[in-house]
Amino acid sequence: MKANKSTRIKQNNNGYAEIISGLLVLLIAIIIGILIFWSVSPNMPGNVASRTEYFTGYTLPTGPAHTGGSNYSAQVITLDYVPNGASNSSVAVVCYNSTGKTTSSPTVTIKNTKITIPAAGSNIATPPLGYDQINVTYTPMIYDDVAVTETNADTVFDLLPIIAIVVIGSIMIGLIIGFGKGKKT
Amino acid sequence: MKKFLKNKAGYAAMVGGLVALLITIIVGILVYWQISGSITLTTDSANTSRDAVNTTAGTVFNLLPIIAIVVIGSIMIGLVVGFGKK
Repeated sequence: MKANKSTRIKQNNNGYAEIISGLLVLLIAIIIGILIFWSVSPNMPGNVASRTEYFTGYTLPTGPAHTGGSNYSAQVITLDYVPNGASNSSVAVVCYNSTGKTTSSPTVTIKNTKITIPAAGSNIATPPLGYDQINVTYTPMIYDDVAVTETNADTVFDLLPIIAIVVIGSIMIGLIIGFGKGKKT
Repeated sequence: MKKFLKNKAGYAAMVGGLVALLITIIVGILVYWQISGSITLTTDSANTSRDAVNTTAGTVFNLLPIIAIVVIGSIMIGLVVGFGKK
């Protein structure tokens, strides 16, 4: 009758060496897996908790009446990544005036990666007016999703070495169960 | 499963498979959000549909890594069930 592997291990001293080398390979594979995963995951583009994008090239109002300029018409900007929320509290849009060193945070409309900055009113009296740069700070959706995967990956890497412990436990219990049964011929 | 549990080299292959799964999920997240972000839709209905798909995709991405945990659980249960068996 053909003996199964468990019986062969118990009757063969080399079998224990095979198990130890198998477990060692398992543990090394886990360590290498952790190394690879944590090398790849944090370096994914867009995987940052807070990202600021700068949009330039806008013009300031001119003349004594402060007419014209980019702020007199609605401006649409496109973010590099989808933000994790579509509200003004989750995406911070700051319009910056480099001449007057002033900033303003208008209420904007956010649709996916498109942000619409509404036109400013024409009755703004106090100069300096307008903006020549827009700064947008947000958390990319990629970051939120990757964070969940990383949390679960942590759990996976915590659980993986337990397989080795369970294997050892199964061998020990197998040996104990075999106590007093005598050697098979 | 039985064949796998009796194969010591299979454990190392399983670890490689799980790491590949996790990395694939992360790359999948990156690809999905890049594509979703680059699509410009003109109507409100289309935007609403896209937002709904994005929400569901978020749920899918949250659930996918749990597969790896379930795989490990199944391996452990398989080992425990096999305790002391010849």
